[in-house]
Amino acid sequence: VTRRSLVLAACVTVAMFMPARTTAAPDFELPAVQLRVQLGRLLGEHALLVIEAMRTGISGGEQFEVVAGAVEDNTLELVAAVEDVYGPAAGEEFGEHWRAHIAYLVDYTRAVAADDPEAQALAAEQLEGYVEHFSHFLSSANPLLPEDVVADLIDEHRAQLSQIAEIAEGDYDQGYEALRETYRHMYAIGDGLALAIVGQFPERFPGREVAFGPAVDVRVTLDRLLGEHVYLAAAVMRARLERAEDFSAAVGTVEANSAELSGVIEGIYGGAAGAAFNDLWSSHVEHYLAYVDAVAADDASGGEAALAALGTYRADFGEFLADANPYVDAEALQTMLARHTDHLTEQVVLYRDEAYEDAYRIGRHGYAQTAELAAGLGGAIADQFPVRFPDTAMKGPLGNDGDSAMPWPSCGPAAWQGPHPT
Amino acid sequence: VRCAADAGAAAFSGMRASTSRRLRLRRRFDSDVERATAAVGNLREWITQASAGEPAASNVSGRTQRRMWAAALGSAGLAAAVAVAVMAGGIARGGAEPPAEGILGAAFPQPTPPRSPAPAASGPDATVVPSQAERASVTAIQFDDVRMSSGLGAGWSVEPIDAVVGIAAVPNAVDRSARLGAGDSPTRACRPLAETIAAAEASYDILVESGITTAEVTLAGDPGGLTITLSGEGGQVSSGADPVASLPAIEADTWYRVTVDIERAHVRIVNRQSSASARDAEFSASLTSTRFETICIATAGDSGAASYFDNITVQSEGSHP
Repeated sequence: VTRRSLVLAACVTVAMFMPARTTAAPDFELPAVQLRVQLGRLLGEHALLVIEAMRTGISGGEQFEVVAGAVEDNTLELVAAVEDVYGPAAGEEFGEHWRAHIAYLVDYTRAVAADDPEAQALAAEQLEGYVEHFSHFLSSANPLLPEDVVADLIDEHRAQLSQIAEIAEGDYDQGYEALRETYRHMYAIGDGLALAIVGQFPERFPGREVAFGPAVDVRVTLDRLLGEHVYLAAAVMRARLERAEDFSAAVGTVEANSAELSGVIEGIYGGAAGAAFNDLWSSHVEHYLAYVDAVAADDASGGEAALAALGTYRADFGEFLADANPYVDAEALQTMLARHTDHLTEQVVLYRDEAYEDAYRIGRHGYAQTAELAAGLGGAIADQFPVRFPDTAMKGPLGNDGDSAMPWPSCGPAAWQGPHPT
Repeated sequence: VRCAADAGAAAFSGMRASTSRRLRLRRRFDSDVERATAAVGNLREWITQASAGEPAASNVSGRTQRRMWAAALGSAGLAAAVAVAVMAGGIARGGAEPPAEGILGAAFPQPTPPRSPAPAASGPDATVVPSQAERASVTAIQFDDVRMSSGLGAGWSVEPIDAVVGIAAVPNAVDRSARLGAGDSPTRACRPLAETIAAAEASYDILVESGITTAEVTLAGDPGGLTITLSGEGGQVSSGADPVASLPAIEADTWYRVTVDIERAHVRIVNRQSSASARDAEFSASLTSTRFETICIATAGDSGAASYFDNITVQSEGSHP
């Protein structure tokens, strides 16, 4: 029995006897919270979009430039975030570094597609140079930046090169698995950057304890998994539509994401709830595939049946979570889920019609929309279990406050998913 | 679900609409340009028909024609702008002298349609507008497929040899541009056109960083050439060594599209981030060169600053729309 298991068991036991918190949910609008959420989501989306750009670049599809445009839109948002913190000049410099590294990845992909080892080596070398310059830029801007953030950046780009090679060689299982790992790393990088910025500018970004406390951990975990679900589900739907070779690998990746999401629910509500959640969640992915088949066959009645099944899923899922959590309003949740499923079904129709720009734009909207789902569910879970998921990391049943020298072990997602960023 | 859901949306809506200086609005502007180009094409077709004496033309006054030009351009929201730089030997002169006060106003009246087809510098009568089918770009240079850090691609020669010249991920990693860093002496890169041509129109996109004193594009020919010089203090069009028109100052860190209509002796400069601010200028049609064989881009200014060039197109007379 590990210490982590004991801590989790203690948390569950205490939570069982604690009344639901009557105070407001954790304040997700605190600047420090918003910064953490923003950086995680933007960097995570960067990883997803870059690999999509690489995939389309290797296959030579006309979608390549559209995806590259989406990467640029994501970059603009990152630049804006940096400008907000460090000003226009820093934003400009960040943008130059960032775009250059994307360009190196594009060059590397083209070299792989052209089977040009010399060009591959050059692009890889340029990426190494970028990491060095970019790390220097970051550490100059913020001396509090943890070294492991820089190390993660280096790993991320090495991993991306591997992913490109794996996809080019048709090893989609490895490629998609590596993609998930990179995506997860980007959230860790975002946490490191946010922590350093909040530490550097505590007056501009108040709420550090909340931002890195268990309640927000839950929200960020859901952000990560739900956002990933959107891109992976879109990839599966696209692959099904095109009868692409990466279909089975994409399905496996969606299932892995679903399993992780179910694991979160299981960790909070128990094994039976986790299994029920997994059944429901997996069913809606099946409905997506049925819809894709109908779209591909131009089968209107089949499409309507799939959409009706998605409607049933939304009702069942809303009721399931509302039953599990008194802070969840089933109707409101269904409305959010409707937006979510609409994004995915709409994008595949656009993709079929070769309206790639709109398809990827809707996909990005779908990714952004999961923020409201994550915030809503995360807030409700934190409200339901205020002891397990207190607003701040230091606040616990022993009455410790945020300034205590004796930290209370985290009961948040970090308790079962790895080290807490603090 | 709790009101906390709003926080997710707020986290993103809080992000400023982008402002990064080189890029924003560029893609949207590109679509504006396409629409405007289509509008201009339609109008030119109409003029062609009018020139051919079709019934509708005889009832349309010159004023109406101008209004149609304005409508065609305005409805597209843009300034399909075109401005080309043609310059010859401009670098050697070390840049343009700031134009005298008052000249700019004359050279840049409020955006007006190109004047009625004037005798071209050479070639067929400008009133004879080729049909759509005859249009073809002679040379189009985009840099998008050139690898990073590998020079400007095949065919370019650079002076001085150690100049800081390369491909930049600007405005983005796929839509790349040529970056000319300014050094102690002007930096210049040239490449031959596919063939010696009687150019009718040239266009390019340009962005200069703060610290750049001049940025030039030259269509070089014998005995001189045509040069467009831009700077923060004003620019000019030169035929050989002789200035033939003044150009307005441009802002640093802003993309412009420059189009030079050689046949009609007209320059248009459009701020790509504020398409409403199209500026036009006309120049003398008596050019010393009308046939060109080389295109050059060049820049001068503070070391560390750079100019960016992209989407360079040179069209021959036969391909002029």
